[in-house]
This record gives sequence, structure tokens and C-alpha cells, in this order.
Amino acid sequence: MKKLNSGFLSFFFGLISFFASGQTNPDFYILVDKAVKKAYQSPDESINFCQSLILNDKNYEHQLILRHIVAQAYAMKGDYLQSVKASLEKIDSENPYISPFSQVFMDYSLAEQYQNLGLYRQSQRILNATLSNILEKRIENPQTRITVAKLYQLQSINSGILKEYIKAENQLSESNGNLSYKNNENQIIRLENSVFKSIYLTSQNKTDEAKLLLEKSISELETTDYPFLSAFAYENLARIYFLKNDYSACTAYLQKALSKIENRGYLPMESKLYEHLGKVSFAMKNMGAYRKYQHSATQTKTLVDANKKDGIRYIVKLVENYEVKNLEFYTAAEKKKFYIVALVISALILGLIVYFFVQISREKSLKKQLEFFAKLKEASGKNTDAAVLEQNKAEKNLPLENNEKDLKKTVLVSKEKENEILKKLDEMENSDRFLSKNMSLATLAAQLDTNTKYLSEVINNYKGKNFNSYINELRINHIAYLLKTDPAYLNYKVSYLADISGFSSHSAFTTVFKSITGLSPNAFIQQIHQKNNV
Amino acid sequence: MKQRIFWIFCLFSISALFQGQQISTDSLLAKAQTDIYENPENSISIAKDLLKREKNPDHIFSIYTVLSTAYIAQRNFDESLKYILKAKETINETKDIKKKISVLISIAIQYQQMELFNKSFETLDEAQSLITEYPENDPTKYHAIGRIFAIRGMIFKSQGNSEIALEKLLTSIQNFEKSTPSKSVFANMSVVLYNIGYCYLELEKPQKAASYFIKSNDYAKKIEAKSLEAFALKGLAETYTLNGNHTEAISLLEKSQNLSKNIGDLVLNEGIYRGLADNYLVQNDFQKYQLYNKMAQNTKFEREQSELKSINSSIDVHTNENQKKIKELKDKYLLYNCIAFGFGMTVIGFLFWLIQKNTRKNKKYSEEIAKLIRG
Repeated sequence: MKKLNSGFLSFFFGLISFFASGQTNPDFYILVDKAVKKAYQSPDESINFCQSLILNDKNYEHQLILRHIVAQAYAMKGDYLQSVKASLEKIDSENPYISPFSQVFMDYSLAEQYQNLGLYRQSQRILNATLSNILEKRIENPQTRITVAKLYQLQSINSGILKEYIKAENQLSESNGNLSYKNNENQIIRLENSVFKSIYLTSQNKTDEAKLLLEKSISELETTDYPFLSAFAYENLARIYFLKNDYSACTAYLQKALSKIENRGYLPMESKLYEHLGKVSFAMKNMGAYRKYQHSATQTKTLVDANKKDGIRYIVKLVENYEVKNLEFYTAAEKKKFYIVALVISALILGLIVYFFVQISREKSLKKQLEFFAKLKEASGKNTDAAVLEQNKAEKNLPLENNEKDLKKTVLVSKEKENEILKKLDEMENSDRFLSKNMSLATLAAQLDTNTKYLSEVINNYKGKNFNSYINELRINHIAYLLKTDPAYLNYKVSYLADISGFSSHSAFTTVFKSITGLSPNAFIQQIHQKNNV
Repeated sequence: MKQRIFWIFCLFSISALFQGQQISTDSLLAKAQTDIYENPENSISIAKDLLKREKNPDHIFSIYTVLSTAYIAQRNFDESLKYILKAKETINETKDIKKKISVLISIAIQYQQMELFNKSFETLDEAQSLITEYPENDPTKYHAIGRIFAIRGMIFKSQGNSEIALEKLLTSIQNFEKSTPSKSVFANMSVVLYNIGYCYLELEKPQKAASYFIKSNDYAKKIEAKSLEAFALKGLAETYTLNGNHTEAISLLEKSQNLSKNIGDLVLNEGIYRGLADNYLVQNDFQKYQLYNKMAQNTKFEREQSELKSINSSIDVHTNENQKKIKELKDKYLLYNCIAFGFGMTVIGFLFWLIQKNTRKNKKYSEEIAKLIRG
């Protein structure tokens, strides 16, 4: 039951968490923003910062987000093995439930890893599936919005690599559409998007447009402190100057880019810059510089490539892990659906069963009422007080067939004695003696000049009930008859009716009344009222 | 680039091994071999099937090699290692020294692929220690020694230790020269000479490098191995580029391009395009630079993607399996939901029927009671 409860709780949590996630802890997202900024300044610092946060935060979603930044920082360093490890290794968390937000975030992480390692098709496959799922929902939450912006950015990079530039540009617009201007991360993604756009423009020979865009980004970057991004922008500006055959400007920008990131640990970016510098030196026939840069490029590239290989080897292993999580997510979702169906059905069934039993008890009560009113009608047909009881006599002054066997077994009462007692009982029924509060088996036996044993035997055998039921029935029949025939009684209080019927308490009267007529005294009075009104 | 030429060498080594085992008729194994990089999953399943019914130890060794290589392609080094060790066990069953050495060399190549260089060196040492047991005056002995040193040299070269690599490769060539001339010896010599040329290039001795590329080209010509010829010419062109003789470099690269036209070797093509682009750049022929630069970039992308093919296919297998599992899961729960719904509806229907019946009865009673009261 506890499990079921927690299942339902997590379901409702799940329903809202895709949108609500991120609003629970604003402090956390300030720290995340700081970590992202650090990644663009010094990857090692960012990694240390995030890892200290990870140690103190066991929330599953928080862990995912922090680990992703660590992974990003490692990828910027060119340490792909650690990057894969950080983003895909199992997370120990107190909250094993995977919310839809974390599911999207996991997809995003994996898609980025695939892209880093050159597995563009895999990256594209995941992004397409994830984005088509998200398209159906309106997103308000800032953390989800920026994740969607990053998903579009990744998709755009994939499209760019596959030379689908128009598509890539559209995806960048989608990415920008999900950005706001509130924090560092938003600014970083927006600037990155603008550099990516310039790359696509350059590839389509729109170098002037690309140059303008880059210069704009660079002027904004000069007011910020994102050395990695600055290097990225300068590198691409240098590329444009290279295409314009302005080798000295190209070299100057490449040097500027290099100076921004040197000794900060951005190995892949460094390697790329060395390669470009080598190439431009070669074009300028500066063979000394060419050899120097070529050497540095080969050295760094060998390292990056080896790391990439390790990363690929590891991701193949960890993909299994990711798939297991994915399956867990679906299992949890399906289970929840099943619980809901089962609960709704069970509730319906339970409700109907309860209703059914209410109906059954109503049927019993109606049956009793029917019998009683039938008797009452017969009695009122004869129009005498005693007539109610006449009927009883006719029915009951014969030994009951069912009891015949018992009769033989029990005390033998002579036929004469029996007849005598029955006769006296008839007399008692026609009198009001049974209304006396003192009426008991002993009293009646004394009144009828017999002993309690004989009297009890005769009542049991001929009336089909024990003494108490017999007297109670006489009393109720009497009062019911009065109620029906004399409207004055309808105005009396139930406690008074109980009193005149010989019951010592209001509640005993009500219980007995209901058990015999199927109606409470009040309901009975109401019925009579209704009849009178009609 | 280094990697690729290593591959050509491996291919010659492995094919030599297979010829010795006369398994060319075994088309299934051949299929498994061709599929290794395209569809390693399939190679593995074919090889595992073959393994169940195969009794011939030579064939079993080949199957283990295929399995190990296919697992390398999938980057599953644990499994690959398992089959290498099994392959190694097969040499205990043979007394043929030549075969033992051949097997050990293949194993060393596998270790090299897995980048377990120490293991590779160990295996090569083991192979070399067996050389002393080689039959006297058997000229294939030198071929074997040549191969052992060639692998050592290439491993050092891949690690960037050009000097040591050069020493090993030169020893290798000396031994190849002593062995009986044959197609496979010449092919191996061409590859080793090309690698020596590259070592000299790295050591900034383009003159010496050029002489080895020329020699490499000569051997390639002898056996009409166009790809090796193209590699040698490309290497030679690089020495011209470094000496500032760009026109000559371009003409050599064009020759190399012609030879490689029908080979479809992406590494070779990329190198040729890159070389052409660089030389045209220095000559200020920007249009041609851009043309070849683009071709080089495209070929590079194609090569990188083709190297990831086996990874892609293995991830696809995982993903498809998982998709299948998710579908099964959804189907299972759909069934559960249907059963729950069906059962629930039956019970609800039955209850409705009972209630309906009861309501009618109660209505009848109420009416009768009303009648009785009124009457």
C-alpha cells in the first residue's frame, strides 16, 4: 500500500515536474549559472566547483544538471572519457523516480556526447525524437526553456555538419526563441548561436554577412569574460580573413584567439588554432613557423584523438546504462497508468457494491413494510382494534409445522392445558394488558395460571417466536393501528408513543418498531401523513 | 594515415595466414571477415555459429581472430581479449613452429589494435624467441623476423617515437631482403619502406625520406599494388612540398590521384587532396586550393564517419533492442490495462444488472406499499 501511495505521489509529481522543475530551488540555479560561466573561463575550476556541489546535493535532477556541466567542461578540455563518464554514469540518488524533465535532460546529455564524439547520426536520432515530444507542450519554466534552446542548438550543429545550412539556421532561430536575457547561460548560448550562424554563412560564401555578425558578437564579448567564446569568435573571424587572402589579419586574430585560451586547458580549441596558424604560415611560406605550429597541432591532436577513442569505447559501454534508465522510465510511466486504471475501476466497483448493499437493505425494509401494511390493511378492513390480532390468531393458534419435531422433543404439555393457555392468550391479546411496562414471562404466567415453562413452550410452538418478540409485536401492531386510524396519534412525540406502547425507552421502541414494520416510527408517521394528504 | 598503412600491413599478414590454412572455400568465414567493419554484429553471429561446428584447429584460430577483430570494431575490448586468449590457446595444439609464430604475430596485431602495446611487444618477444627453433636454412624465417620488427617499428611510430621506430623498421627491411622474394614479402617491404620514409620526414630529413619513398614505390610497382604505389608517391610529394618544389609535388600527387582512382581508399584520397590543396595554396592558386580543400574536408568527414560505422551499428543494435523492449513493455501493459478494464467492466456490468433488478423490485414494493397505505 505504501508503495502504491508513493507511486501515485510520484505520478502527480511527474505530471507537474516537467514544467515546475527549476522553480523549487532558485539558489541552485544561480549556482548552476555560475558553474556554466566558469566552464567558459576555466574548465578545471568549473569541474571542481560542480563536484563540490554534487557532493552536497542528492536531488536527482540537480545531479543530472551538475554532471552535465562537468561533462561539458571535460569535453572543452578534450577529455572525452571523463566527459562521457560524468554525463552517463549511474547516479546514486535518494529520489529514484525519473521525472519527464530528467528524461529530456538525459536525452540531451547523450545527444551532446554523441555529437562530441562524431556520432552525428545517433545524436540527430535522439534530438529528433526528444524535440518532437516537446513540441506538443508549451514551456514556461526557464530551466526547461534553456534546455530546449540547447537541444535546438545541438540539432543545428548536426545539420551544419551535414551541410544542411538553411535547416541549421532555422534551428538556431528556434534555439534563440527559447532564450531569455536573464543570466550568463542564456547569454552564452545566444552568443554561441550567433558564431554558429556566422559559420553557416561563411560556408555558403556569405562572408560579408558572416563578418558583420562576428564583429557584433565580438564587440559584445569584449564587455564580458568568456575567453573560450572569444577565442571561438576570433577563430572564425580569422577564417573569413583567410578566405579573403588577408593572411596577416588572419594570423593576428588567430594569435588573439590563442592568447585568450592559452594555459586554460581548452585542448581541442588550442589544437584547432595551431592547425590554422600552421596553415596560414604555410600559405605565407614561413616554413619555420609552419613547422612549429604543425608540431604543436600534431601533438595536441594526437592527444585529443586518443581521448576521443577512449570516449567512444566508453560510451558504447554506458549506452547500455542509459538504455536501462530509459526502460525504467517507461516501466514507471506504464505502471502508473496501470495503477490509475486499476484504481478507477476498483473505486467504481466498490461504489457499486456499496450501493448494491444499500439497495438490498432497502429491499428488506420495504419487504417488511409491505408485509406490515398488508396486515394493517387487513386489520383496518375489519375496522376493529382487535382485528389486527385476529389474524395472528388464525395463523398462529396451530402448532407450526416446522416446530413439530421440536415439540416432541420438548416438555410434553397436555392438549387440554395447551388449549387453555391459548385461550387465555387470546384474551390477553384482546385486552390492553400487553401494554403494561411490567409485562414479563413470569407476570403473564401468573396471570394465566400456568408456569413459565409451559407458557414459553406454547408461545414458541404456536406463535413461532419467543416471548419478547411476541409481546413486542403485539405492542407495535397496536400502536401502528392507532397511528393509522387515529390522526391524533400522529401529533404525539415518539417518546410518548413508546411510553404508551409499554416500552421503557425511546430507543428500544424505535429499534423494535423498525424491525417489525421496516420503517422508523417517524418514517411511518410520515407515510401516514402522506396518505392523509393524498 | 599511420593507422591506415598499418592496416594494409595487417591485411597482408592475415591473408598470408589464411592462405596457409586453406580456408578460402569457407565462404561463411569470408563473409564474416568482409562484414567486420560494416556489420560487426553479423560477423560475430556468423563466427559464433561456425565455432560450434568447427573441428579444424586452423579454422578455429581464424574464427577466433575474426571474433576478436569484430569485437575491436565494436570497441568491446574485454570480449576481444577473451577471444585473443582463446586463439592463443590453439597454438598449444600445434607443433608447427611456423604456424605458432604466424599465430603469435596475428595476436600481436590484435593487441596493437586494442592499443595494449606492452602486450603486443610481449607477444612479439614470444614469437621472436621461437625463431631459434626455426628449421635451418628456411628462408621464410627472415620473413617472420621482418614482420616482427615491422610491427614493433610501426607501434613505436604510432607513439611518436620516430627514432626507435626507424631502428626497428630498418632491421625489418634487412630481414625481408634476406627472405625468399614473393608477392607478400614485396608488399610488406613497400609498406615498411613507406613507414621508414615517414619516420625520416618526422625527423625532418626529407632527402632521406624521399629515397625510401622511391624504394617503396619500386616494390609496389613490382607487385602492381596500385594503392601502395599511390601511398609512396604521396609520401614523395610531401618531401617535395617541404623542399618548396610545389610544381613537382603537384604532379606527383596527381599521379598518385590517378593510381588511387578506383581504390576508394579514403585515407589515401584525403592525404592526396590535402597535399594538393596545400601546394596550390602556396602557389596562390586560391580557386584550386578551395576546390581541393573542400574535397579533403569532405573525404575527412567521410573517413571519420566510416571509421565510426561499426560503432554506429553496434549502438543501433542496442537502441533497436531497447525500442523492442519498450514496445514489449507497452504491449504488456496495454494487455494488463485491457484485462483490468475488461474484468472491471464485466463486474461493473454484473453489478449494474443486480442493482437494476433490485431497483425494479424495490420500486414495485414501494408502489405496493403506497397502494396499501392509500387503500
